Order: sequence, then C-alpha cells, then structure tokens
Amino acid sequence: MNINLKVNGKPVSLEAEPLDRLLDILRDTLGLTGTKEGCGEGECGACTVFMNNKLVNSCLVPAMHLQDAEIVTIDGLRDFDFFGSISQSYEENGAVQCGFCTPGFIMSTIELLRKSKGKELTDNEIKSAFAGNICRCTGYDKIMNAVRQLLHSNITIPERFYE
Amino acid sequence: MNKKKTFSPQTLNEYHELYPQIEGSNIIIFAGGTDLMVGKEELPEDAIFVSLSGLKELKDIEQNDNTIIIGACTTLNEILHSAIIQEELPILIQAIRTMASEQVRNRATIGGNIGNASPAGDTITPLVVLGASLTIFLPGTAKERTISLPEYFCGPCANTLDNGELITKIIIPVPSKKMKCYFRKVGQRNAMTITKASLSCLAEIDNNKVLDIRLAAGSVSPTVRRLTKTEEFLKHKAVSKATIKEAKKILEKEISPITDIRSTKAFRGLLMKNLLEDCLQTIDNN
Repeated sequence: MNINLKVNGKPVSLEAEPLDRLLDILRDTLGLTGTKEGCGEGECGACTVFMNNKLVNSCLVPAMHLQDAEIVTIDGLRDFDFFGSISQSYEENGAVQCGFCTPGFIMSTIELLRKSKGKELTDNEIKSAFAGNICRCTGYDKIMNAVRQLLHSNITIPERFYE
Repeated sequence: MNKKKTFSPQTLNEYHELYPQIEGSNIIIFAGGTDLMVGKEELPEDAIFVSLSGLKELKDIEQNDNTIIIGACTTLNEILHSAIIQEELPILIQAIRTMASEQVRNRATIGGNIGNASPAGDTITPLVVLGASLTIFLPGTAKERTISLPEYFCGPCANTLDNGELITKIIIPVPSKKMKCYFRKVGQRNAMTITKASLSCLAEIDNNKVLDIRLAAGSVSPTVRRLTKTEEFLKHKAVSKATIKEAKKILEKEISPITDIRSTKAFRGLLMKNLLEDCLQTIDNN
C-alpha cells in the first residue's frame, strides 16, 4: 500500500505492507536510525516516537495506521532549541551510559516536560512518566536527576512540534 | 507475513458492505494493535485483518442520564483523561492508571482489552462490578445486539462472538455516589506489569456495616465474573476480623487460580484473600 505521512516535519510517500512496523519503516526505509529496537514488544520504550503528538512505541504501530500521520523521531529534534537543554542536562548528570535507551527516554522526557510545566511533581509521578522506558545501565537515578533539573529549568516545549 | 490481507473500513456501514467478500474467512479485528503486533508472526496464515482505526464513530465517551457509553475504540489514555469518567467511574481510572505505559495507553483501546478476553485484562474486573454491557455489531445484517459483559467471555482469551462480529460500545450504568470503590492489582513490578491477581469492588459500608457489595477478581478464574457467594455472605454483616476470616474461606472456594508463567496457584489464592481483607478495611476506613 502507498502511504503519505510527515516525518520530522517533511512529507514522505512510501510503499509498505499493511502490517510493517513503523520502527522498520523509520530505520530501514527512511534511514532514521536514531530510533532503536530493544524488545520489539512495547515493553522497553527504546523505539518511542511521537505520532500525532502522542508518545507511541513505533514497534507496535502498523503501516496501515500511518496514512496522514505526523511522526517525530529523535533524529528530528535538532530542529528545536529545547533539545540542547535536554541533551545538556542528560550529559551533566551522567544520564547516558551505553545510550541505547536514550532516544526513548528523551521522548518521554519531552512529554513529561510539556505536561508538567510549572507543576511540582513527586518522585512517583516522575517515575510513572517513564513506566514504558527501561534502562539497564544507569539504575535510573542519573536519568531522574537529569529530568528533575529540567523540570526546574525554564525550558519550554511547544504544544506542537511543527505547524 | 506482513502481506496479510487487511481492510480499513471508515464506517460500520462500509464494513457491512465489504463483509460478503470476507465472510467465511478467519477475521481478526484489529483496534490499537498493541497485542496483535507483538504476536503477529504467530497468527493464522489465512487471517484477514479488519482495522478499526478509521471508525471515528467508535471513539466517543458520552453520558445519558445514568448511563455512560464508551466507544470501543476509545484509547486507555482518552478514558484516563476524560472528565466524565474521572467524576463518575473512578474505579475505571484507578485500574487504567496501573495499566502498561503512556506509549501503550495512547494506542491500546478499551474494546481491545475486552476483545482479547484475557482473565488478566485490567479494565474487565471494574467493568464487571459496574455491571457493564456490550453492544455488538453484526456485519452480515448491520444490526446490533447487546450482551452483558460476563456473557461475552467463555474461557481464557475466548469469547462468544461469531466470526466478524465486533464490540462497538461499552455501556456502563453509573453507580450511586454512596458506593465506594476499590481496585488493586499485584504484578511482578509496579509499572508495565501483567496482573498475577487483582480485585475490584464497589461497596456501600455505613457505620462498619456492609449494606451492598460487588466483587470481581482478575487472573484467578478462566473468566472474570462476580464473586456472588462472597458478596452474599458479606451483605448486612459488620466488618470485623471474624467476618473477614470467614469471607476469605468462602472466597477461596469461589476462585480457581492456576499455576502459570506469572505466578502459582497457591500464591494467587493467598493474594486474593489478602486483597479482600485490604479491600474491606480500606473501604470501611474511608
């Protein structure tokens, strides 16, 4: 089937089978290899991307649901100023070790920052936002520190990535 | 495998019109796909998928008098953030909050959770105590029929629908505000976990006395249904150590847990008894 969608703000037209995974389309068809495959079962969150402004596991989204969809991946984030603040906070707090889970954690971080602007969050509320992301290196503390620092910064995430 | 035949009707009527082409085939209804995409390699070779993602008519939450109707393709996060559900059906909110992750809840639908018919489906026990029923669409005639939720299930991951039929609406009577609610599930970890055992309860307990109670347990019987014997025993009794002890004995006879990859029969039985105690004490102290 032919599918027209937008990836990182750019219109894309491609051929895919209905049950092809968005993850494979991103990595193999479009060469956007920033998005990683961890478990392939929606548990680990390494493949997290935004679809129509909502977090999804790209390993669970079939091509047949992508018509007219707007996808934002880690590869597109350099277009935005806020990404600099996020990567800096991750670096300063040692929140990246092997780095394989990081693209997914960054996506969940963006969603948390967008939803929680100006709110004081408990540790459990922060942890819940990362229920769908697994990291086997950091023990999570360093990631939580990076996220807390960002929550207390004046970083602004736009309501939508592209107009 | 990815070349499987798929249809994406945009309306229920369109599904009715295309149905003669696929009648007799092995039809698999595809909603959010969070389960089907994981197991897609194991699905039958001849399966035909009908994707519901275009069916906007199944994506509503509405309230008429004392009934709430949730469209089957409403996602778990849409329910979680619905002001109507937060106000009227807090037990459903409590349950969905424990389910999966933000990423999965943005895709997974309530119709899919019911459709899957797993005894561990976490929307199912709250819906059973709420007395929910389902509207089923019959693609051959384009008619609808309504069944109670327990009638839908006929075994672990098995349902009573005919090939091609699909759930369109979940109809939920709004419980009295006097009914307090309880939902708790136990899994291997706190987040992103499948239930070893869970308990949903709606109860009116006044001055320590149980006036009304509805209970349903998850993952401890082939299908989720009300624990009617335990309910009957508890009605009109005072919540006390002796009552709880006796109720646990009745509950134990009413469930039939098994040992599987997630837990053992003995541990599930113990969990259920402890959940009942926690439930009665929580509601009584509330």
